Amino acid sequence: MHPRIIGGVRRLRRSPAGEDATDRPGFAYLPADTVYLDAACQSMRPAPVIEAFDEYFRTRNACGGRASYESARQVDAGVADTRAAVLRTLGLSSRTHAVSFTLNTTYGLNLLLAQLPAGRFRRVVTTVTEHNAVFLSTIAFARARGIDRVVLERDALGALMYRDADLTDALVVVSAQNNVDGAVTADLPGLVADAHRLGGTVIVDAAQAMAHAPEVLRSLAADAICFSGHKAYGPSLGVVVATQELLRSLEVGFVGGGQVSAVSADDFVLLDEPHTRLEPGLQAWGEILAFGAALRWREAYPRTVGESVEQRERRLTRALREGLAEIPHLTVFGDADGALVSFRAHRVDSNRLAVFLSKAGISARSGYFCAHYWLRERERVEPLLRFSLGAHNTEQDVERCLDVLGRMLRGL
Amino acid sequence: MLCIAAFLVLLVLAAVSAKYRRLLGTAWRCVTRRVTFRPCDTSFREDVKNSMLAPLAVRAPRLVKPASIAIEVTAWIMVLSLVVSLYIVGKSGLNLFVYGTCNPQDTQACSLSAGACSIDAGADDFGSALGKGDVIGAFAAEFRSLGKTFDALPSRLKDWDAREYLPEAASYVGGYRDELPVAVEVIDPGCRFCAELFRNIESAGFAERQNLAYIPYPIGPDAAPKFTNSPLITDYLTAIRLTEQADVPAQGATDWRILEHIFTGERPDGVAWQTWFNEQASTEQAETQLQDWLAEAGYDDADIQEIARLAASDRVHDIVADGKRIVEEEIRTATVPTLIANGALHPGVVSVDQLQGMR
Repeated sequence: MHPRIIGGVRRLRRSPAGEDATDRPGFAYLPADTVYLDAACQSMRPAPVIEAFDEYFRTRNACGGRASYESARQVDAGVADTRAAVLRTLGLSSRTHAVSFTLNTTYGLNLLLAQLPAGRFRRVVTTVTEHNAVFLSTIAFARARGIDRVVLERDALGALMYRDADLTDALVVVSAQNNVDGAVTADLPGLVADAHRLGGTVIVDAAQAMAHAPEVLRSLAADAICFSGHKAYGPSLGVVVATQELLRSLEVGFVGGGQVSAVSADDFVLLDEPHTRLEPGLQAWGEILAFGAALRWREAYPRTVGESVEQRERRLTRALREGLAEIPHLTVFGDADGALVSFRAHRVDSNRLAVFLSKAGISARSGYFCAHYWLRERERVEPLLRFSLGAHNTEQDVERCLDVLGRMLRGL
Repeated sequence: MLCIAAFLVLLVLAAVSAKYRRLLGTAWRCVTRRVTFRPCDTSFREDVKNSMLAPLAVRAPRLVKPASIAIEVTAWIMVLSLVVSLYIVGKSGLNLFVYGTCNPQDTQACSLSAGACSIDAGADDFGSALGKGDVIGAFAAEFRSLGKTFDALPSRLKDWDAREYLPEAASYVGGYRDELPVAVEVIDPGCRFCAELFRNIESAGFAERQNLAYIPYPIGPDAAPKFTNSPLITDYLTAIRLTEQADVPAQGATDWRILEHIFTGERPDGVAWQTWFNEQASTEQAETQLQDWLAEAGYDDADIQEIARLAASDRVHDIVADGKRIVEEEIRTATVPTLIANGALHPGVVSVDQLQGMR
């Protein structure tokens, strides 16, 4: 279904009830022949998000955080609503936590790590399955601080294998869900509790989990959670949810407008609001407001569609996984019940297969998905092909994908 | 090879459309790494191949593998063709500079060269040796030819003095004049381009401004000359030179008069003398005609018999052989005619305008 063009502006067709009369709730504007299977990299944006983004530029376009005219106040209110919606989604309180916006997960992680108090940690701990955002930033952190870096193994169920000594006074940076087979990190609350008991701090990379397994993040007592709006049905945006205690402890070294209450010749006074510690300069107001719309859309999704976004994603992914099992000459990587499936075709290189699928109208990722250390160095696997699903996908997408892939792999 | 082949295609496309220029840059980076024996550091090669195979993968996946092989083979052929073409262009350019023709084995096959007869026509070249199934011989001939060209290269850059290449008993048009510079031409009486040069020299009045001598050079081995009667004519011309060297006839050197007959004259039946000598005359008929011209020039029977005896003598054969040595080892030209004049070597026919410009 194509969007109607009215007055040069794309208007997204919606029912009077605010829900799309389509089997792609929220994504009626997508062409019927679009099979986009790279939601793990960047999700499609539902219509309300696009409209909120469009509305900001068309009706407000005001400077937030520093102006008192009406449209600026409206922007400030909208941004505050988005911060509140993030905390509500994660089941956290604004009394203990604050929400900062950045560029993306990688940027948020690095911003935090670069400003953590010097001498606070004896080691930095991460795991073998991390993608580059975590893996590389912890390498840089260990080098910069001159401390040890511990890379934990995972057991067959995905739980981390560690001793108390590993976590003692450690900075633990770990993902809640990986982006290769979609496995969630088992007993994340237990890890957080153990780290806190031993004087450690835990930063969780929720780049995948925020979109596809938000239940593992709810009420999690981690010191910080970093994720990307663009992987969670929002616009391009990074989000850092951290305890106020952690934010106030930062040794701010990346500083500018929007962060200070007073400035003298040789000094400045930081604003009291802890979220400002990670928000130097003007923010991406349109993106923040649109991300608020994404969270509200997702909150309302089960009521209007009858199942949650993650339930839909997993239902479709299970069907996809079952279909892949019937196709010869491929091996599925992992068996997690997530929103994505990675596999390797035996007779054709994954990068080539991705190009072939693209020609057939199917967009899928190939390669190592920024998990080079895990896949290439440790597992020594050939590049994989990944189908990652989102709320925009349908049963027809899955059937078409299986049909096209099956024909190709039987013939190649 | 695929990235090199793709670069060549993109080079053409980018010349007519800007949208290919960024791809051309990527291809160029890949090519520079490949030609320096390093792996390509981009996925350009795979990108090109994948995008070519993708339509087939959608419609007929079973054909992807053979198509992939065909793409590689085609790429190899394209690149090898390019390499061979570049080699041929380079070698031809070098030959053109050194010998005045891009193909010394067959000067008439080179449209850029002045008209000339090839000296090396009889020698095996790469193609003919390969045609006989002699692969090693083909490459040996090719490298020998290339080596010979390189060997001759320095001599083409020097200042040529015709006096250094004069044959024994040199004969000059109109006799030797002290105040004039010397020019020498290498000619084969049977070569039609020598006739053309002869006519140009006459038209330009070149011999009036230069002491023009010649080295007769019958192309090919004695047993199988390129022009049947050229060795006989050469022997007679040499014998006449020896005879007249001390006393040139008042009406001019007889050898030059015979050359004038051959290069410019016609028989009563309208056939050019040169054509008749080359295609119709037996050795006996040719010799009789030469003797008729001697009689016409004032030689009596006894003199003519003496010239005939001298033409068959070792003395004349030695002078002819020395002339061939000068041509092959000192001048090292691959074409006849070749004129040494005005401090330079001029392979092939020289135009009237050029000749008039030589002082």
